[in-house]
Amino acid sequence: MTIKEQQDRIIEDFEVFGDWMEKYEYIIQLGKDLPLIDPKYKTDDNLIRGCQSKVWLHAELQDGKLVFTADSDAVITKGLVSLVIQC
Amino acid sequence: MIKQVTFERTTYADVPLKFEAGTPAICEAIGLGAAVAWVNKIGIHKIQAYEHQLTEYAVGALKQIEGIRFIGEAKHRSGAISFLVGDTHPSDVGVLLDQQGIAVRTGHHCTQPLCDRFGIPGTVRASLAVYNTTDDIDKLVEGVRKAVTLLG
Repeated sequence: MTIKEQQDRIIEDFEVFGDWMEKYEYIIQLGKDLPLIDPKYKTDDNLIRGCQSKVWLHAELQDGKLVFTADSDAVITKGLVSLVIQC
Repeated sequence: MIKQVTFERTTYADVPLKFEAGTPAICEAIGLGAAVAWVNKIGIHKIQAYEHQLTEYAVGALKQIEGIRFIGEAKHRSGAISFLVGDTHPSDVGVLLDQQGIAVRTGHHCTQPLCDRFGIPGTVRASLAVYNTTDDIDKLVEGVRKAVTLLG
């Protein structure tokens, strides 16, 4: 799947929701489901600094593809990060 | 503000006009006047008493939320109420309150060393003032409860 196809799929998924609660329940679930980053990668080098929550992003080259794993201390942020790395 | 400018040199107006370049803050001054008149009309002591009462109401109402923890519990306090609920992250609570039309601040509020001392990532901070009502507080409490439920 190309990045655009992935993005279109996510947009389609989100159009299903009736209200904000359903949408956020989904994002929170995504956050809870995100496979945990290897703790050895939760370093300051991988930390994206912000004022609200911490996000660690680790990138690895696997078979010519850039694969990301991530984590955050805030669960909604984690859900949003999981959408980003799906692409 | 200048007095005169040539390619050879520049001279400046006398202080304070020297430091008042550009269009003066005319609207802002009028706005400030209106704000002061409004405060004087109500009376600063009445405002203080009302805010004190409302803050007590707010703290009392928030205290009922299971797992709530106030950060900053001085006896004489203002209406900026910082809290955390259970192990929810403040930014998550903030996002969900925002969806319910409730505006709070979240994060470390430019006090990272203090947050480090408390061992917290930041807080949710509800600030109230004379234009808030007990109805606002009730909605805040309901909103926080809903947010915490969604975060599971």
